[in-house]
Amino acid sequence: MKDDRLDDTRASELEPRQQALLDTLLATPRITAEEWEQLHGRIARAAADELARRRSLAAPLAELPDPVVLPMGHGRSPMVTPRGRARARWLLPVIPLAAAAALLLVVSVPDEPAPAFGAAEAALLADIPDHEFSRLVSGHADAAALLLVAVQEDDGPE
Amino acid sequence: MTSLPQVADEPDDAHLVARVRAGDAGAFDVLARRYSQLAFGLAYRVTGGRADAEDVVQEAFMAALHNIDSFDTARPFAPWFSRIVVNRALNLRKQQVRHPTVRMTDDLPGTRPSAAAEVEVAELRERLRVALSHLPERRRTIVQLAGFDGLTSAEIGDMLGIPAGTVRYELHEARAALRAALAPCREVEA
Repeated sequence: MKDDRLDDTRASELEPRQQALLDTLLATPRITAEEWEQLHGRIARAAADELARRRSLAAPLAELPDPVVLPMGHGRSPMVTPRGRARARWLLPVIPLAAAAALLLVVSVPDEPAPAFGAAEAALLADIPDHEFSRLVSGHADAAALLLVAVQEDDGPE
Repeated sequence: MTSLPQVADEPDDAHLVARVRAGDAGAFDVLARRYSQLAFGLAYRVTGGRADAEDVVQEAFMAALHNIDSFDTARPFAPWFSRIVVNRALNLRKQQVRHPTVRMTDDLPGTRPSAAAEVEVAELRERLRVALSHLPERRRTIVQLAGFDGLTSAEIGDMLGIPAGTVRYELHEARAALRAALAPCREVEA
């Protein structure tokens, strides 16, 4: 039944007028230059976020934007409700503790002497992304000193 | 399959894709302008509506952007992108609640015939439109794509994921059905 060598020019082809009618039926409508620009504008606007995301991934570390506080659940910001604000205050001391605890898992003990206590404190208190923090303090031998700095943070609600 | 001709000093598709991957909005704009005409033509052929075709074009460029990392720059961009366009157009057509019909367009190229000829043409077009709408979906899609921008059976088959031989067979059957639908008019034409 199926003929793989079927040629488009065989007798089953439409007659010229029928083909012309089909062509006009399916013809693409004329688009003016202004309409093309409008369509291109729509496409550009729709693509803006994804392109910006790709640019941020390609940017050097120093040019990365400040980290964004992730919502705690249900897509809501943790700061919009009184309970959320109270919860956020309780979490403030937990964050450096968590960072220090994570650091214990990755830090190695180098041959060189440990940096001064002050450098670790500065790294913990600085407003830097987690990955930058890890890079700055990696190789720090005195993990206990880092943990000590963390527990000396404000450990209670206002 | 053709797209807008590249200007001599414009980068080729592979270079544009590499820059789009890095988020270059200018490169994406060049790529979009280069292929929007092709995309719109394909989308319109399948959906039959101008607004739907524009939506499909936008969706197709977004899909291409999100999947740009998977594109093999050693291969031509047009076939890969055309597949995306046709798939999006077919998805839109399937989602439409109303009975899938081929819409008539008022924006026809060329000069308008006389009043009497207009009536005859309108009647023939309506019969052709109805006959097209009664074709099985894949066969109808093949008819709609055939003859667009010099697409070959192999290219159409590539877009639809079927062998070129199947495309030719479906086209043969479709044309037979359309000829039969228009047959009563042939006596009038003679």
